[in-house]
Amino acid sequence: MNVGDVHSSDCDDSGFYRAYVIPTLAVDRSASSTDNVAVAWHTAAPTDLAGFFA
Amino acid sequence: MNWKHVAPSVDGAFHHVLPRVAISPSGVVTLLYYEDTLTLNPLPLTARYLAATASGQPAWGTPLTLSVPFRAAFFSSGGKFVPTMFNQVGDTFIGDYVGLTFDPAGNALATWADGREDRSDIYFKKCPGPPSLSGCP
Repeated sequence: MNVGDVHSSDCDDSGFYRAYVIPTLAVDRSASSTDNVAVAWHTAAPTDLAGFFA
Repeated sequence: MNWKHVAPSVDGAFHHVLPRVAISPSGVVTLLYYEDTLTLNPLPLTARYLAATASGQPAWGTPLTLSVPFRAAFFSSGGKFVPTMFNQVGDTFIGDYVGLTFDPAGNALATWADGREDRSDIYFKKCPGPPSLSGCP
């Protein structure tokens, strides 16, 4: 991810109720990494899923 | 670092909840949390980022606002309680925690649940380092 201000509206979540909470994140600390970050979160109906962008 | 007595990071005018602590590569202690003004404001919640003033110092800088103010719920014109965020059990839920870490370059990376659009979204923001500078948001 080119790190900047982003949010889950950037994700393709068509058909899902937008109820996103409890995010967590991790940084790629490998020597070859530049700005690699992963963010994951909980969502809900119609089925419980975990969202993710990186 | 050995802090035995550290003053509260913020004053007691409002509630400050769901803190996440992270330490920068240079040793600066930082917090990400929600400030809740309770019923004093129609948009009572904001996500704030706070850093100690220097490495190893038990003094805090000025909190930086990451989100625009938002509400987790409101009362409709009919007096009905309307949750705007995660509503799985008929009540409002903004989450159990937020996320804060640093990249190798010392930039703070923050993520939180945000209701600025009257729904629950996950937001992510990079706060250019080193901490305690005014570069974020």
